[in-house]
Amino acid sequence: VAEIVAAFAASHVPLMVQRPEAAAVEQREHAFGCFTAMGHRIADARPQALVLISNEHMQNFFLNNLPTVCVGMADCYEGPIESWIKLPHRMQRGDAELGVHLFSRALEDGFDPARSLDLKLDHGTLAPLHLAGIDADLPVAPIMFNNVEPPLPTMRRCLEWGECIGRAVRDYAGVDRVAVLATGGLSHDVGTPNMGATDPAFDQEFLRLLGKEETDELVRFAQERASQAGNGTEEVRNWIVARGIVGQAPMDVALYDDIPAWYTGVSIVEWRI
Amino acid sequence: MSSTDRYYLNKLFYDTQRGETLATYRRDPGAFLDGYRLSSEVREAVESNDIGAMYRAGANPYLLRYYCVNMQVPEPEFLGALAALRELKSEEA
Repeated sequence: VAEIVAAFAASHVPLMVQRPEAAAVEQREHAFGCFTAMGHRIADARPQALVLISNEHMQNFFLNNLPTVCVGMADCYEGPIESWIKLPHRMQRGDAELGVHLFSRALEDGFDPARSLDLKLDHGTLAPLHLAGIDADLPVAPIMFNNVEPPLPTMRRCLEWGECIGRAVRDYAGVDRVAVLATGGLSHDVGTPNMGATDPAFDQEFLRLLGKEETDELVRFAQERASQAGNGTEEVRNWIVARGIVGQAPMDVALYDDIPAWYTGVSIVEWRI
Repeated sequence: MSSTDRYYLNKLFYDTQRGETLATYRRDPGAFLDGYRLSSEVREAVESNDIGAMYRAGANPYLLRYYCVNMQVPEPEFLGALAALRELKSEEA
């Protein structure tokens, strides 16, 4: 059965690729260097599949039928779906069998996800994949959590989802080695009166709690404070899912930099598996 | 704000994310908007590109952002229109 060989969470702010020059040269070179290093760490772990935990930004899904959680089970994921984003076209291989397995296990575990066999990728997954230089031939299984149209899933439920995905990956017989990458956050506002504001105090406390063995405080803090730290900050849900997947593995903060020029507290963490 | 207004305002944003639909919209916004069940108030907000009014009408903030990117609204104008709502809110309070 499969083991988890690498696990990361990383920001996916579009301005990193849209207007990189807005950030000071040292800031952006440091951030991009950390994304490259993440890509090397993932490649060095020789994964045969990558579980992507993210949110899409109302590019695939709309208010006529908006899943709270959607498991991808396709052979291929095309993107970017946005016409405006400065990212190269990509056909990312998909591990449909792993997607079906994660979906089935979730149902057996009492979860009720939606599924998609035609999910396009947006900057939420593609910006980190691109910046990290992750191979388009590495088969992915994306799971999308609604972080963008309230009401949103609770932080507690996201942690439970992560635990479910972790169990499912570890009893998957299709491959031996699986990596995990969650994306989004940290503090930022998108399309609101506070757009451009970040909340470094939230970010620092979130990262501190994310690295702790016990999760109650993390869940409570995120539930109470994330929305005040910006509507984009709701994407820390994806990081909490990743925390649920990895369990109590030690965590390193590979990058944290408050970058108002990119409207975001930009971060990468690695769990030492 | 009615759910119908909110739905069709966001549907306009969602639909015009694709290049070919955006081009059709920009060629003849009036004819395009006839396909959306918007109250006259919300339709006026769209036609005058009143970002603050669209936000207050229940625009999903992400869709509003991408719509304004697609409509080539300059960044300071976009941020300024939203920031003005902060002052409005503090006046109301």
